[in-house]
Amino acid sequence: MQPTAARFLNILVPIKRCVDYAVKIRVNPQQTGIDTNVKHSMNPFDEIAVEEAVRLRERLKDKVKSITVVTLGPAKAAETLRTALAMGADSGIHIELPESAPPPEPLGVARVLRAVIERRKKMATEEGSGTGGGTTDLVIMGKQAIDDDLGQTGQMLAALLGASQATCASKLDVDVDKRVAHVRTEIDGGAEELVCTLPAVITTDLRYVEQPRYASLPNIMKAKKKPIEKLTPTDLGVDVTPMLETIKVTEPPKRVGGSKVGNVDELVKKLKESGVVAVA
Amino acid sequence: MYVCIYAYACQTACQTIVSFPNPLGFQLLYPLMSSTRQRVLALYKELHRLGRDYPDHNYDFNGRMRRMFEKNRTLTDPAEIEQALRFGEYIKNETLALYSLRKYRHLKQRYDPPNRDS
Repeated sequence: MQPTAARFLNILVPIKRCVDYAVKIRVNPQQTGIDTNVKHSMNPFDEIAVEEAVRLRERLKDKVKSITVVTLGPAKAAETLRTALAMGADSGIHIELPESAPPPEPLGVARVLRAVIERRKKMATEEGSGTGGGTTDLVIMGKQAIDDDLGQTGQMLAALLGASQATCASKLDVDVDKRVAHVRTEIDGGAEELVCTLPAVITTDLRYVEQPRYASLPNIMKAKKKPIEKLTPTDLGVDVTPMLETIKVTEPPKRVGGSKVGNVDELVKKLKESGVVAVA
Repeated sequence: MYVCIYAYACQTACQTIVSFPNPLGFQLLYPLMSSTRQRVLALYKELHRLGRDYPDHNYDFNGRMRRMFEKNRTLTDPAEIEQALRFGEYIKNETLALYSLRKYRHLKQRYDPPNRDS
């Protein structure tokens, strides 16, 4: 992918509507998946990504031309988009899937995101640079979703786009004039400082110091006026049917209970084996 | 929580409020234009929305909040009203801090647990 030439940033933030972090997961009666009739909310890593995009705009001010959030999911995923718009994004794209469709796989999602990015670039060259299009300079997303914990979409998207990538990022700074991003990423045993040329795909880690902002009611009201574009995967020419078929989902086996001991000596021996230390 | 709820009462019975003799009569005569009323209503709506996500289901956040608002419906002194609104804002910030801390702790425990050998 050619390096972007304009002196402004267009940021794309893909988000996902997942089962809420506080919900106790249960397997559904058909044993084909988990019970999805529970509270859903935005993936916490994606909240951090939206927050980072908004903070980047607060730091760089006019150099950030647009922050677009995009999600792939059923009709209810639009609520998650509204939350992101209330946090500070400018516009949203909702790629709608039917309710009964199986959840898409990371490669499918990455292909859809690539199609979205190419579509925006095409729209910009066709109608001159309006607010609807433009080259995407930065993609910021969560490193993994808390429902499937796959952590693959960001990397796959970077590979499909031929863009630079920095995963598990905990600090992000963009030098718009030089068209680079300075990223600190978390690795085993420490951190790594990377310099990525734009366009780049950044996936956010948990270790951001700042917490995502709360979408207050006035902001949610204001967000209702922000535009959300509705598309389908067929509009973008992408097939999102999963390549894997889930045969069965079961809970892990229940914990086995304790054992009985014959006398005190045996009890003391078992206690010592399990590491219980006597307090004098 | 000392918050004036005469604004809420206005929604239900405007006429009775207007006829009540009061040093702040001008505010009561035009309840719809009062900025205090708007602030109180905005605070109530915000707290109600927050209360829906309260983690402990045995604690009736919205019920208690509603009763606290209703207890203060007859406040008239502007200083007391201000104090009550400030207290409401404080409760809102505390609740937000509770939610974000709880979420952060949960995620940290799951995705970045402290090392056991260090």
